[in-house]
Amino acid sequence: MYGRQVVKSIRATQRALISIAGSLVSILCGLIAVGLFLVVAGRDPIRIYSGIFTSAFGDGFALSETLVAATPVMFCALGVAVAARVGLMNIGVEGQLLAGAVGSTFIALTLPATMPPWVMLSLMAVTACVCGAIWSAIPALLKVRLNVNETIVSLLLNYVAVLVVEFLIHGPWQDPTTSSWPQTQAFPASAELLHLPGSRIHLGFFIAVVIGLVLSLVLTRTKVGFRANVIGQNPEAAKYAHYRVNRYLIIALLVSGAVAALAGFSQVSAIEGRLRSGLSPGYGYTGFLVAWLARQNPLAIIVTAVLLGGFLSGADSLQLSEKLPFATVNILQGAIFLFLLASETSLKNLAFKLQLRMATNAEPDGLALLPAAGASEVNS
Amino acid sequence: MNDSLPFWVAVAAGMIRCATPVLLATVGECITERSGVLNLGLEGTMLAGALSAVVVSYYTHSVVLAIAIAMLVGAIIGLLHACICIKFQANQVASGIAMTILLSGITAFFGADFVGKPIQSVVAIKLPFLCDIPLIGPILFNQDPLVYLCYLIVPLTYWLINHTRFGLSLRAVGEEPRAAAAAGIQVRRVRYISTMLGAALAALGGAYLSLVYAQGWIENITAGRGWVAVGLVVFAAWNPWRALIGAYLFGLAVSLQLRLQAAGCEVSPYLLGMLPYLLVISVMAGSSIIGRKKAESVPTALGVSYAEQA
Amino acid sequence: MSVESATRAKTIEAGSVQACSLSFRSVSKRFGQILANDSVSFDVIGGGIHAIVGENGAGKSTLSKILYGYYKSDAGSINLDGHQIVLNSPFDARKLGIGMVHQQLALVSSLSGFENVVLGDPKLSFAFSKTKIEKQVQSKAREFGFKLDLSCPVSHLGIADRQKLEMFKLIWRDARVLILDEPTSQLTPFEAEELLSIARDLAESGRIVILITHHINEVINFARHITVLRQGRSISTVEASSVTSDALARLMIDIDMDSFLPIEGRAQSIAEPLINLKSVSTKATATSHPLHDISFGVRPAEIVGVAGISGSGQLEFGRLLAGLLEPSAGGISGSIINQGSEISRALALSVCYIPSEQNHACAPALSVAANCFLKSIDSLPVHTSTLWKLLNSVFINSAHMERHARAIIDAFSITPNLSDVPAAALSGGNLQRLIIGRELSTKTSVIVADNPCAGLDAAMSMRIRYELRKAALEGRAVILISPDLEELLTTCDRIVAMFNGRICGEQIAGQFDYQSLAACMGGKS
Repeated sequence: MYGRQVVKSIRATQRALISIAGSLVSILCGLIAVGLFLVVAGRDPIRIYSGIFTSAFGDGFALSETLVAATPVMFCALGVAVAARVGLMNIGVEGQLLAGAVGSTFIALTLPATMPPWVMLSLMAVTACVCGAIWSAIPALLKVRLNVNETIVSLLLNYVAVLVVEFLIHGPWQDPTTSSWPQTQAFPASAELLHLPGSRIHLGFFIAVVIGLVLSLVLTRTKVGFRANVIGQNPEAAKYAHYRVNRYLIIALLVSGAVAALAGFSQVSAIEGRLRSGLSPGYGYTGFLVAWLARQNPLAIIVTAVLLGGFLSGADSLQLSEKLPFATVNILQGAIFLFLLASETSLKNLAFKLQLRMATNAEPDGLALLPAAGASEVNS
Repeated sequence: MNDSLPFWVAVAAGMIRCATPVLLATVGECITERSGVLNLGLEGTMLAGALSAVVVSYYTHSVVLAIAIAMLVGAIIGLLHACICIKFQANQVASGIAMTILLSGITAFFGADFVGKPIQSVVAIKLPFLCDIPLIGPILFNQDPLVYLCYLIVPLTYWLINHTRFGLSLRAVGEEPRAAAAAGIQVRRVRYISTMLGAALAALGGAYLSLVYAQGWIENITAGRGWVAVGLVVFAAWNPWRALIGAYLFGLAVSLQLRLQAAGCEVSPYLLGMLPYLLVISVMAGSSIIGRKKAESVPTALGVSYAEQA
Repeated sequence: MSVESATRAKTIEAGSVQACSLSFRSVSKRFGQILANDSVSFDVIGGGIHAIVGENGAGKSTLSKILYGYYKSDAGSINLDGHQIVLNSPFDARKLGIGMVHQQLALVSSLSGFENVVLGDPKLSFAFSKTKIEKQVQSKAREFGFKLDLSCPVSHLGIADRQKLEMFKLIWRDARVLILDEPTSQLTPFEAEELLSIARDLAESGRIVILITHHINEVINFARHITVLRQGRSISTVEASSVTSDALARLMIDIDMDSFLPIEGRAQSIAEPLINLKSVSTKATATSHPLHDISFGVRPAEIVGVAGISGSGQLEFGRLLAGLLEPSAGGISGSIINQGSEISRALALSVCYIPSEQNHACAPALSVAANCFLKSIDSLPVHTSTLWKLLNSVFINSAHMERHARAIIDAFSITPNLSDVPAAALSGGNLQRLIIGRELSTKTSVIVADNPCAGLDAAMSMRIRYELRKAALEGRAVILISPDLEELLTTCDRIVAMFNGRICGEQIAGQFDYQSLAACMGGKS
C-alpha cells in the first residue's frame, strides 16, 4: 500500500518536472533567438541581458521594483488561469484591468477625502471587482447564450476599454489644474494602498499572492475545482455527469474579470495615485504569457510572474540607460511564447510515454496486456 | 479629400478606403479558416505588411515592389504560423496571439526609425466610363488601383473556393480532414497553402494602410483591425461576398466617425472611436442569433489539430 | 429484386475488369506487446465475395489496413497478380487499384455526393464546371446501377446510401480490389442485404471484393469463400456453401460458452413502472434526431431491449431516459420521480447511463481515479460530526476518491490497475470497463446502456451482458439499446424496435420473431 503511494508521488513529481523543464527551455530558446535578433539589429545582447538582469534582480531596490511590476502581472495571470480551467481563453484581462482602474478612480474621486482609509480602499477594491466582472460578463454571456467566440470579443473590448479611459481623462475627469496633461486629479491620501516602509512594494503584492494560494486550494482540493477541471477538459463529459456547465463558465469569467480588475485597482491606488493615459504597458498580455508558462497553475504563476515582472522592470530601466526600445519586451515575450507553444504537444506526448513506461515497470501485476500508446485503434 | 463633395458622398468614398485593408484581411482569413486553421496573427501580419511596404517604398520608390515584398513577408509569417500549428500541433488561438505580440514588438522596434519618413504616394485613378455613373460612379470608381484590385479579389476568391480542385480540397480539409485524407488529399499541404495565402492577403491589407490610408508608418497603425477581420469572418459565414458587406459596414463606421469629428461634432472623439469595435461585436452576436436557426456553417474542423494516423 | 439484380449484373459485365489474384503470405504485425496478425497466409479467390471473419480483436481490421497501406507488416508479403507489392501508404494502394470502404465512413457530409466522389481524384482538372462533372458522375453511377441522389449534401443521405456512395467512389477510381470493412454494422437487415448483393455483383464481374465482418449469417448467405481469423492467426479458408453457421461460429470463438449462459427468462413483473413515458416527443436540432410520441414504461427487475440502428432515435431515447434531453411534449412520470421535484434531477439521481460514445462519458486527460469519481462527487463517507460534514461538502476527500476508484478497478479487472494514470492510457476495452464499472457501482434503480459491447471481444461482451442480467436479478431495471438484434434476443425479457424516432414494435421473450423485428427496424411494417 505504501509502495503504491510512493510510486504515485514519483509519477506526479515527474509530471511537474517535465512541465517546468519545458517552460525553462522555452525561456532559454527565446532568449537565444532574441539575442540573435539583437545582434542582427546591431546591438550587444550580452550587455543588454546582463543589464536587464541587474536592473531586475541586482540589488534590494531592483528586487523591490521587480515585485512592484510583478503585482499587476500576477493578478492578470491568475485571472487568465481561472478562465482557462473551464476551457475559456480570456485575453481580455488587459481591458478588465482598465475597467477595474476606472471603477477605483470613480470611488476615489467621488467619496469625500475624509473617509477612513480602510473604508475607502475596500470600496475601491470592491468596485474594481464589480467593474472587471461586468467587463468580462459581456464576452461570457455572448459565449454562453450565443456561442460567440469569447477571444475576439474580449480583444476588441480591450481597445474599447482604452478608449473609455481616454474619454474620461480628456473629458469629465480631467484634472483642471494640469489641463494640458491628460489625467485625473490626484487621489486623496486615504486612497493610497499600504506600502512596505522604504520601498514601493505595496499590499497589492501580498493580496495577489494570497489570491494565488486560495485559487490553488480551490482548484485542486474542492468539489467546485474538480467540476471546473472536468468542464475544461471535456465539456461533453461534464454535461453527461449533470454538471451545470453554463453556470460554471459564466462564474469563471466573472471571477477572472474581477481578479484582473484588482490589478487596475492596485496600480492606480498604490503606484500612480491617479488615472492616466498609458496606465498599462501590456500587463494583461504579459499576464497571459505568464499563465501559459506556468501551465495555468496558480502556485507556479506566483513564481513566474516575479520572473517576468523582472523582465518588464529591467527593460523599463534600460529604455533610458541603453536607449533600448520598450518594444524589445514584446519581442522577447512573443518569442518565448512561440517556443513554449511549439514544445507543448511533444512535451505532453513525452510525459505520457514516460509515465506509461514507468507504470509498466513499477507494477508487475497484470500488465502483460498493456498495448503501446497509439494502438488503441487495434480493437477489431 | 474633396471638401466640396456632399457629406454622404465623402463618407461613402471614405468607407471604401477604410474598408479595403479589413476586407483583404477578412477574405484572406476566410480562405485560411475554410481549411480548418485559425490565424489570429492577422493583427501582427498586417503590421508587418504595413512596415515592409513603407521600408521598401522609402528605399526603392516603387509601389509595386513594396506591395510584392509586403505580400511575401505575409506569406512567410503565414508559413511560420502554419508550421507551429500544423507541425508542432500547438493551440492555434494562442499561437496567433503570440505571433501578434512578437510582430508588434518587431515592427515597433524597427518602425521607430521610419516614423514621418516620406514614401511614394499612390494616386487615385478615375476609371473613364464607370466614373460617370451617377451616384455610385464617383464613389466606387475614383479610387486608387489597390481598391480596384480588391474588387477583383472577392469574386476570384469565391471562384477559387467553389469551382476549383484546390477549393474542393480546401472545403473537405476544413470539414472532415480524415475523410479528405482517405480520399488522397494532402491535408497538411492544403493547410499550409491556405494559411500562407490568407496571411499574404492580410499583409497586403496592411500595406494598403501604410501606403495609401496613412501614407507613412505610425506605431500600432492597425489599431485592432486584424482582430476585427477575424470577427468579421464569423459574420461572413466564411463567404467572401458576405465578407465584403461586413468590411464595408466597418468601413462605414470608421469613415462616419472621422467625418463627424471633422465636421465639428460635439461627441468626444474617443466615444466615436468605439463605434467600429462595438459594431463588430454586435455584428458577431447578430449573426449568431440568425445562424442558430440554419445549419451550422462553421468549418467543423476549425481550430482542431489534425493528427495523422500511422 | 432479382430482375434488378440481373440488369445490374449485365451492366456490370459491360464494365467488367480483368480478373486478378491476391494472396497473403505469412503476414505478421505487432503493436507493442500485442500480436495483431500472426503469420497470416491465405489466397483470396475471385468470382465471388471473399469474406474474412473473426470476432472483435481477431486481427481482421489490422490485416485490411495492411492491405490498404495504412500499416506496414513486420514480416511476410502480399502478392497481387503474382508480384509482391510494396505498400508504403494508401497512395501506393490506390495506384495499384486497391480501394477501401472504411468502418467509419470517410465522406465529407457538407459536400454533395458527386463532390465527394471526385474529391482527391487526380484526373480532375484544376478548374471544373460543377454541372459538367455532376453529369459525368451521375451517368457512370447509373451505368453501374447505383441509384443515388448525387446533388444534395451527403448529410441528407441515409447511412445505407452513404455506404453505396463510398463503394461507388471506389468504382469511379477504377478499383480492382475492394475492401469492405464492417459495412453493415449500421444498417438494418434489409439494407444490409441490398448492399451485399451489390457487392456480390461487383465480385462476379471480375473484381476482388473482400468483406470483413463478424456477422455469420451475412457471410453464409452472400460470400463464396470464407477465411476465419482467430487471435491473429488464419485458421482456415472454406467455401461458404460447405459450412454451417454453427461450425463457423465454433471456428471463430474458442471459449467455453457454458460459463456465460444467459439466465432463464422470468415472469413479467407487475410492480409499478420506475419510469413511465407518455406520448413524449423531442425537437430536432442540428445534432439530434427528433422523437415522436414515445410511450414506454420500465419496471424493476426487467431487461428491456431497444432495437434501433443509427439515426432511428435510439441515441436520443437513451439520453432522454438519462435526464440529458428535455422533452418538448408529453409527460415523464414513474415511481422514481417524486411529486414536485424536477424531472431531470430525479432522473440524474436514479438512472445511470452508459453512452455509445466513450468520449461523452469520460475525460481522457484526467486520471482514472478522477474519471471514476465523475458522478460520485457528492457521495460522502459516513461521518457523525458536523465539522466533518461541512468540510466534506466543500472539499474532496482524496482517500475516499482513491478507495472508490480502487473498488472499480479491482471489480472489473481494469488494466493497468493504476488510478493516477490519465484515462487516455487505457485501451478502448479497458476504458469501456471503467465506464461500465463506474455506472453499475452507483446502485441506481435504472441502468441505460447504449451499445455497451461495441468493439469489444466476445468474452468481454458476454461478461457485460452477464453483469446486466445480474443487475436485473438484483431488482434494477435495465434498458439495453443496441443495433444488434441477435444480442438483444439472447439477453432481454422484452424488446421494442425503433425507427425514425418512433417505437414501432414490441415483443416479449418467448414470442420473439426475428423477421418482424428486423422489418420494424427497417421501417417496413
